[in-house]
Amino acid sequence: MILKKYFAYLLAAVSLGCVQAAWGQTLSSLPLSDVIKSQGTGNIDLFKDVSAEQLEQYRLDHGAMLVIGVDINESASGSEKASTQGVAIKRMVLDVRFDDGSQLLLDSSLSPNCCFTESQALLAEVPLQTRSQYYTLLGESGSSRISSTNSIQELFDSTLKIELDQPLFDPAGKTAVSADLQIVLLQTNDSLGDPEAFYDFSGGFEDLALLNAVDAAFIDAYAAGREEAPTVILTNPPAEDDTLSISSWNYFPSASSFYVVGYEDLYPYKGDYDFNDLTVAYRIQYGLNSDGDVVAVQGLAYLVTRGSSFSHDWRLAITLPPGADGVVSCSLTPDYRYPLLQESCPGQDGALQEGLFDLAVFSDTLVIFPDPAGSLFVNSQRLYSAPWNLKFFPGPKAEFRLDFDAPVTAAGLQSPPYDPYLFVRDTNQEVRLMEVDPAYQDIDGYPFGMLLTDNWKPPLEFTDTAVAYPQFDEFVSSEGASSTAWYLDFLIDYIVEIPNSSGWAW
Amino acid sequence: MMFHSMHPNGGGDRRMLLIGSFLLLCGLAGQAGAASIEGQVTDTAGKGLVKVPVCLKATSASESCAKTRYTDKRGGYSFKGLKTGGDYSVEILLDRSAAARKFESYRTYVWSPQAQHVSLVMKNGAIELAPFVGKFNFSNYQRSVRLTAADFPELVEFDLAADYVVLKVSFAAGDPEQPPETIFLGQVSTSDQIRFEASVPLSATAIDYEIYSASRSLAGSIALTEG
Repeated sequence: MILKKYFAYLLAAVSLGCVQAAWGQTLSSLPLSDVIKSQGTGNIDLFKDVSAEQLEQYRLDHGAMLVIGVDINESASGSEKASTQGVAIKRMVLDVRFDDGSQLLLDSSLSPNCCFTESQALLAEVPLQTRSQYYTLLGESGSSRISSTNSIQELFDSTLKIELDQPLFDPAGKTAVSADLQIVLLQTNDSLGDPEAFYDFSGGFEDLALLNAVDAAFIDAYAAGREEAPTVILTNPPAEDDTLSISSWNYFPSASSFYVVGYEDLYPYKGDYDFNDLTVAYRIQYGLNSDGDVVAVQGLAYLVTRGSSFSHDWRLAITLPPGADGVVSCSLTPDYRYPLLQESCPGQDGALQEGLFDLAVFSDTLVIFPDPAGSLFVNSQRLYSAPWNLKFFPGPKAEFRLDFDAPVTAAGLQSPPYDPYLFVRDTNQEVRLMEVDPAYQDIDGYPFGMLLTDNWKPPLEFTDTAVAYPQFDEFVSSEGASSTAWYLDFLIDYIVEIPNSSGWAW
Repeated sequence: MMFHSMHPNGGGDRRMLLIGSFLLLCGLAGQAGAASIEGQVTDTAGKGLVKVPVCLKATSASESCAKTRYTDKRGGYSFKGLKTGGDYSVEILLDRSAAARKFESYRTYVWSPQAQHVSLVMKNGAIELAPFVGKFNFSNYQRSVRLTAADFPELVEFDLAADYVVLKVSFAAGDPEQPPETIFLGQVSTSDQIRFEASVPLSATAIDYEIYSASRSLAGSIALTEG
C-alpha cells in the first residue's frame, strides 16, 4: 500500500512536471510571510510576497484556482501526535480589490463551494454537541519524505484551494491591487474527546505557501497524516474501495490511556520486590477496513521506570492468525528533549514469524534509558534535592506498526493486553506477566510480572511492594479475592510520586 | 445486553489472573450400557493444559465430584463408564481445598464458563454442547468485552450505504473533568463490520456510544453487568 502511495504521487508529480517543462514555465512555490496564528486566525496579505502578475501565474498554473499549502504545526491533543495532526476550517474569505474600484469577495460561509481542502470531518464547534461538516487540514511533523524534491514538498502538509475564475492581472482590463485571505480555524468542542480533540487548534503557527501545480500534486498525493486521522471524509474519494484502507480505529485500552506493566527482573528469585525494575506503558490500536477487518496494528510505548542494574529488552508478543504476513516498522525516540532524533528499533527485523508478532520494542534498557543525574536507576528514587532537583525524567518512546499484506479478522488476533514480556540480558531469563503465564509467580503467589494501572506509583527503590502498598499481601494471599483495590492505598513515604500519563506520555 | 462474568461459578473474586479457554468435546462410548464424556482444556491459543483438575458431577447429586480426572499432556480428559440417560456437569475444579491447591499453576485461571451441563440422553450419537468460551480476564483492573452491531440498535435509523456515518464508542474517564476514553471511532458502512473488542476498566459501569451523520445524531449506553 505504501509503495502504491509513493507511486501515485511520483506519477502525479512527474506528469505535472513534464507538462510544466513543456510550457517552459519556472513558477516556484513561495512561502508566505503571514501565517495562521496560534489563536486560529490568519490574515494573509498575499501582496506582501507577490504581485498581481505573479499571483495570476499561480492561478493559471492550477487552471483558475489558487492553491495554498499549509504546514500543520499542532500540539498533541486527543489522538494527535507527530505523525498525524489536524485542524478544521470554520471560514475562508478571499477579498480582492481591483484598480477599477471593483471587489471580488469569496466567502466560504456564503459560497461553500468556493474554497475547499482534500478532507472533511463531522465536528462540533464549542460549546455545541451537534456536529456539522467542515473542511479539514491534515499533516505531520518530524518525518522525512524521501521522495520530496524541494523544501516545499518536504515541509508542507495539506492544500487549501480557492476557485477563482476571474483574472487577477489583465493589462487590457483590470488588475488586482490587493488580495487578502482570511482563514479562521474551527474552535472544536474538545471536551467531547476525539474527533473534536484531534481537530482542535492548539499549537503554534500554521505556515502557508503559494503552491505551483507540481508541489500541490505532490502534497495532495502524499496525504500527510491522513491515514491515522479520525473520521476522514475525502472530498474526492477514490472510485474503488481499497481493502487495505483504514476507515475506523479500535483502541486498547483507549485512545488516551495505557496499559502499564511492571516487572521484578531477578526471576526466579524474588529479590527486593520493589516492582520497579522496569515499568512500561503501552497502547495498541487496530486500523480496520470497511469490512471491520484489521489491516494494521499500531502501538505506542514508553519506559516509565528502570530500577535495576540489569539491562533488559522489553518485548510485546501478539499471536496472529496462521499465514498472516506484513511489514513491521518501529522507531525509537530515546530522549524527550530531542523528539526529532529517532532511530529504528534494532529488534524490528525478524519480529514477524509464522502466527506471531514478537517485537523487541525497547532493547538494552540500561543504554537507552540512563539516569540523567548519573545514578544507576531512573525514576525509582527520590532525587528531589540538589544537585539533581529532579522529580521525574520521561523515558524513551517507541512507536511501532504492523501493516498486514491482507486483512485479518480481529478475532484471529490474541486479545489485549497480549504478552508483554521482559528478556533480562544479564540472566538470559524471560519474565512474563502472571496473567499471561502463571508460572511467573513465586511459591507464595507473588507475581514477577503484573498488569498495573496507568496512575501507578512505583515503590521506592529497595522497598517491598507490600510495604508501600499495605493491602498487597492480603490481595496476594487471598488470591485476589480481597483487597482488590490494593493499588489505591499506598504509603506516601514509600513510593515515588511519578506523574500520571500526562507526564510520561510526551 | 449482558456480558459474561469474569469470575463465574462461585470461584470467589478470583480476578488476579486468567488465561484460558475450556473446550469440551463430548461423546458416547461404543460400549453397551455405558457412555463417556471426553474433552480438552486449552488456553486461549488452543494449547492443551496439563494436569488441570476436572470434576464430573451428577446434576441431581450433591456438590461433591462423582469423579475427578486430571488432564493429560494434550489437555485431554475423559470420564468413562457413565450411565446413559443421566444429567451431568463437567467443571474445572477450582476450590480452595488442599487437593486443588496442589495445582498451583491453574489456581489463578478463571474459566469461562467454569462448568458445562451435559445430558446423556442417547446411547449412541453426538451430544451437542454449547462451547466453552475462554475469556482472557486479565488482572483485576480491566475486563474484555466484545461488541457487535446488535449492541447499537440505533444503527437501523441510519442509511449506512448512502451517508457517511460515524460510530464513536467510549467509556467515562476516571477523572470527570477529562473527555471520555475512546475505544472505537470511525466510519460505519455496513452493520456487519461492527464486531470489535474493548478493554474496559472494572470501574466503568457503562459503555457509551454516539452514532452520527451530517443530518442526525443518536446516542446510547450499554450497561456493564456482572453475570
